Amino acid sequence: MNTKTKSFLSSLPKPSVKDGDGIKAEYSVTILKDASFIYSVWRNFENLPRFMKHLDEVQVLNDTRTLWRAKPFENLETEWETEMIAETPDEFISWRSIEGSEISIAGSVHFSPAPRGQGTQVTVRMMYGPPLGKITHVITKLTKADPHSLLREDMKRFKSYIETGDILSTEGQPRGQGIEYKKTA
Amino acid sequence: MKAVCWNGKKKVTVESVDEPRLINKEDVVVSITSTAICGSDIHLYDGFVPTMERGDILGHEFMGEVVEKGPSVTKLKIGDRVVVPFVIACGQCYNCKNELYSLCDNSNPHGEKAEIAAGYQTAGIYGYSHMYGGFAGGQAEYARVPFANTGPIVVPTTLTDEQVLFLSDIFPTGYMAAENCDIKPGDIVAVWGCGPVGQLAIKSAFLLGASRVIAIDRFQERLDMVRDNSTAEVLNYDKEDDLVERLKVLTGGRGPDACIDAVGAEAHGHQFDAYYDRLKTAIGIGTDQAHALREAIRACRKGGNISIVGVYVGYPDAVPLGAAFAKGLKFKMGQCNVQKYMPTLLNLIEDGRIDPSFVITHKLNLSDASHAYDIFRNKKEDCVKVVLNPAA
Repeated sequence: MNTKTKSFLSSLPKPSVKDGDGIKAEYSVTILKDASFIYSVWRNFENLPRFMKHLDEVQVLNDTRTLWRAKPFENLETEWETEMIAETPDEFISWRSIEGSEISIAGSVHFSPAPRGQGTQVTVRMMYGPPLGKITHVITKLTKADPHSLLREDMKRFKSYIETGDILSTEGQPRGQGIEYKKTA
Repeated sequence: MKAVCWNGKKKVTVESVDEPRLINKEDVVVSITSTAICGSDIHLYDGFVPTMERGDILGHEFMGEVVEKGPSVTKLKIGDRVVVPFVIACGQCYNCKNELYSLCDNSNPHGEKAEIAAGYQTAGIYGYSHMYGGFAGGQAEYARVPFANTGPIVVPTTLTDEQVLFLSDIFPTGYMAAENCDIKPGDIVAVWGCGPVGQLAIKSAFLLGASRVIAIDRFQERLDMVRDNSTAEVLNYDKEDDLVERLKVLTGGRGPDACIDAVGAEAHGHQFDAYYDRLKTAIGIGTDQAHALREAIRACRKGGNISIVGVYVGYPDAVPLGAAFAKGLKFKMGQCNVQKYMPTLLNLIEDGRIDPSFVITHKLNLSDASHAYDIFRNKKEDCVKVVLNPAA
């Protein structure tokens, strides 16, 4: 991190998720594209719902602030305002929810070159302070919507979106409903 | 349309289902003219593959005519006659760019379970369980084909369906098995299992320069087929006291330079302990099927190559790794990178150097799929390979 981002960071209030609190999730994918391209897709935050399955909308409020709306699992709709803490073009972005948000989230994404022309490693680290504390984590884990699985799924989708311009789906394909085929005369 | 649906163990039914439509931008819909039953379909049929769901449409060896295409499809046009590879591959990820199509990063939308089992998810496959993407298969009148710029190959009208259909799976699979043997002039290759893949591996081994191929099976009709269609020597292991000793005698005491296991434990890599336990308790399955690999390892010459093309469950019993280590064997294995081989193999067919249709023993109607699975599964009527006609 350069001096400029450091001073920017130190000018901000304390993180919304305290060290040691909340749930940590991290995941990394390697994407066969240049860092600058991948970075630009991510940095345009309004793109994020295209691959973050449980994110409904991201609204850019100003240079550093965005409003996120999500439905992390059934019967839980939430929104929170996020501020960017640090940014190094083509390399790094970090953000966190502002104090007093419905849920507390802090996150970062690193973009670094992968060896042997394999593209760019994209590593996301998230800290969640869920709205109801650790009990929510247990519930979400049981319903398989735990932060790690969600992040994994979203990162896979992001990679597909960047590499192929689309995210492969099987929704809407035919399947048997138990209706026996009868030869028509 | 009519489609062959999985409805539990030993129960496939021909059902009326909706016709497929385009879902992703690079999809095509193919009107199917020929579709085959693969040996690996039998493991779905036998209920050995987890993450199958009632109503899943089966089939991963099919060809037909492009009748619809999405906006991103640049390599195909409506009316093209195509063979579809069983492996779905995006063509854009690092593995696809390096011709490792069966390891595609982006073609399996339901890869979580594969990732838990194998560490990483692999490519999607048509009609082959939800762990392999949950894609509707091609034993139907129509199929949706994703990533159409990297999948289907256009075939000339001068060749019949039967001649080119097996480009979808078993010919490239057999060819890759032989290629993985790293054959040098004068090499002797032994092949365990003379099903359609084993037979095409035998043909491919000769094409790649093997001086001799020794084919091993216990079904005489399959060994007869090998003898009728190639110059391979055949061994019926039911009639041999000690197969490894016999192979030694046939190879001047050196052993085969390469051994192909075209038998496998055939459950397409669903590596769960629970599943393995189920398999072990199934009558005769667990031990018999690992037997081929054990024998191949023992029989192989020192420093030789083992090529595994039959599919393993993940925890085969008592694999003699000590013997493999002591002899410095080399192992290669995996699902076929079909797209890599299709153009080369189509050329071989066009040039008349091989006609893979020799493996076909039965041509039936799609509406008779239930009967077709039964005779193929139970090796009735000397059934080796079934091709289904979706129009009837």
